Amino acid sequence: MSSTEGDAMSNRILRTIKKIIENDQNIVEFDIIPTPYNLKNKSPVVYEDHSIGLESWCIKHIYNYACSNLFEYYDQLKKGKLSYMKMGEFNDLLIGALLINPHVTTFWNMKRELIERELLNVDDELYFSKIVISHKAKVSDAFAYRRWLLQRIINKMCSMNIEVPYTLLQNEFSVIHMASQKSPNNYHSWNHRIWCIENLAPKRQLQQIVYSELSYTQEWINNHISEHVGYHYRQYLITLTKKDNSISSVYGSFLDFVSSEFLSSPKSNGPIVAPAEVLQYLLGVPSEQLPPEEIANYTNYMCLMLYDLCILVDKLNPLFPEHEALYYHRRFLMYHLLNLPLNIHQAHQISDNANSGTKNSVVSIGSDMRANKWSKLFKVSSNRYEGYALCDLVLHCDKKFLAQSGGSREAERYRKWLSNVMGLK
Amino acid sequence: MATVMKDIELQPNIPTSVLFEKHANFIKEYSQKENSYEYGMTDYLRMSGMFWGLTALELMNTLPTQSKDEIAEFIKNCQDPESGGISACVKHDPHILHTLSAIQILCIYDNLNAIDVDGVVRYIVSLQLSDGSFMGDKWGEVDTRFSFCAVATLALLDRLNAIDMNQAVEFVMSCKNFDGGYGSRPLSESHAGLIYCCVGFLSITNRLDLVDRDTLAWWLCERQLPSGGLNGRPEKLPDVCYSWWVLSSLSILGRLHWIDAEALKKFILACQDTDTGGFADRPGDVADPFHTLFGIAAMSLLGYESVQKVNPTFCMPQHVIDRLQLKPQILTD
Repeated sequence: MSSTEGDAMSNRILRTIKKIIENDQNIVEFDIIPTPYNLKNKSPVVYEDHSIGLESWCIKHIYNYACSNLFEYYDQLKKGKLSYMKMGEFNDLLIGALLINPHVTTFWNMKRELIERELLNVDDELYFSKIVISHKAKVSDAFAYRRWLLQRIINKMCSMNIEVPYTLLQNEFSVIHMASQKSPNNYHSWNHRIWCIENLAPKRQLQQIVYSELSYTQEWINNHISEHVGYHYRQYLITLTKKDNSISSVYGSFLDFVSSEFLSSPKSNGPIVAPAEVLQYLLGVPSEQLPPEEIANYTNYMCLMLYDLCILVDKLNPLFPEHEALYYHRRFLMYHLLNLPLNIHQAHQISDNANSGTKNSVVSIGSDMRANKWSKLFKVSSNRYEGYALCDLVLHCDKKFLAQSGGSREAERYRKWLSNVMGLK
Repeated sequence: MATVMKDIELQPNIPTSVLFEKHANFIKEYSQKENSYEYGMTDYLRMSGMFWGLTALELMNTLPTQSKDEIAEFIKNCQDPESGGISACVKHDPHILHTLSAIQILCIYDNLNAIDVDGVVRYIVSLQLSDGSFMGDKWGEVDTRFSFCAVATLALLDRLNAIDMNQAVEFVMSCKNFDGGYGSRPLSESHAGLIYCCVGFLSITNRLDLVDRDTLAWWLCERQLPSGGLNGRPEKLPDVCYSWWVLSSLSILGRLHWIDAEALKKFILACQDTDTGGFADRPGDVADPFHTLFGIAAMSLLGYESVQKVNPTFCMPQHVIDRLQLKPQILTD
């Protein structure tokens, strides 16, 4: 093939791809089909079931053709000398080049320049970068480009005093889900999910969004037991329930779980369900000493972690033994649960007659959780966790857990972490 | 239920030494494939690629095929006169990642005068945001890698005072997690590569007092798998590049002795390609300059004879760091 023939062919192929993307808003996947030679003498673009395939024999031609023109066009664009006709061609080249090699930051920058000149449309670009991610799910540049586009939308909405529509977040979630499915332990997609909650979630709906994300992650973890990144995201959500004051109601299901599992009052013959009471029993914090608007935060935070410790981790562990990721989640829970009472006392300068409140608590876990019992297993080096019902309860659960998991490799590593990092002997 | 641990099994016939000659040839040949399509596909990381290759050669006491002037000429052509930043390759946009690589290369060859140093400083300064973080380029993406690049570049140029250091430190510390590790941004998962960036950052800025030393060192040691190799996050496969990110972090923290050095050495040696030369991420995979540098640099940290001493903070030959009279902080007992 002569170079002019090659260029003409590349041009044709690029236009075909661009037209398909323009006409079909539901492309689910782009991929390169390994075909070393052009045997059939027909177009290398395969378009079926909303998927685009490109036969690999033509990749080199297209990429070289795109590269040999792109920088020239870029230069002209920056000098304001690129004719309108050539701008369309410029984008055709960029589509081809980025589908083949999405790691080239400068190509994404070229697109940014076109957006800034309003020669490309933000929605179309969100769609295009989604197609790139369908091909290469771990490309950090594609996610960075999305954030840049989304930030433009946010800024625009903000300047017009309009709230960012919820559909934008939903759309991101679907792209992220695809990327997380395609590429295990995808640091970029999960990081992007956090960014989206932080930047796109309407505050009014945050309570509900976090709740549905908690369900999503539980399901995800059940199916991806060894992907630590999924647990990390769940940990982020749990932490968010503590610190974001737009989460102002208690998640009833988690509170109910904690109440019925651990707290029953003989007086009322039923579980204790008032958040303030639960906090008082488990943390030794008299409710009047806590800012009322933070009661829901602390309740959610604590109940979610207890739920994860006693249900999520405990149920999954025997089914999927020896999973480091699951043990690391347990560490997160243990660390934050054990430190919660002290932190709360320090944060609100609650005088440490806490123990009186705690000791009066009527807890169904009974006497075997008392320090003198579990101290046979753990020799607490400091008494920083002592005297709080929550710590007693957590350590009791952990003792039971360790007794069941025996001396497996991961259990041993966990034990060492408890003793060396947490200072529990 | 049976579980399979995510690790690899080392095959017999592992080389017992570093195959210096093969690696040197591998790197030299790699840089001579200029006209191939595959080479063109990697233009976007050329400057960093040069840093990996040239540093590996220097650590192996081998001269590159290009002359000092040719290298300087290439870098000079990659500097953007306007912003002062340096790109991966001619015609590409400047970026902080490649700016650091370029400065590292020029420092190795003691040739900083070849470029506009003030321009580089101006570029780095322009990328700092009010929260102390650094963007990778003018388009705004923020990452702790860029914080490392910023202070490493400025330290090599002896211009650390050009940025708001307190704010920069505060941002990095906002990326710390309860496990002692660091992620790419606040709220991100701990990741060994980013831990290196943050620990390296704190080493350069002399703020290792802020690290949860043993909690972090513990997490780092747990990256070692039964094969001896290290991974970068829980339940991921071992990879030679983490031999560097994890090991250099442990060196800076003064906890190198917490891992099984012999087992790791064996793993690294097994990642050599005995035919083509070079190191791959794992035994049997295709070798590349990136893993070759980190394999060799890790062997240096492990005290392997006849590799030059490497500085754990800068990933550069120690003699260069000494010449520049830099003393990045390292914790000792």
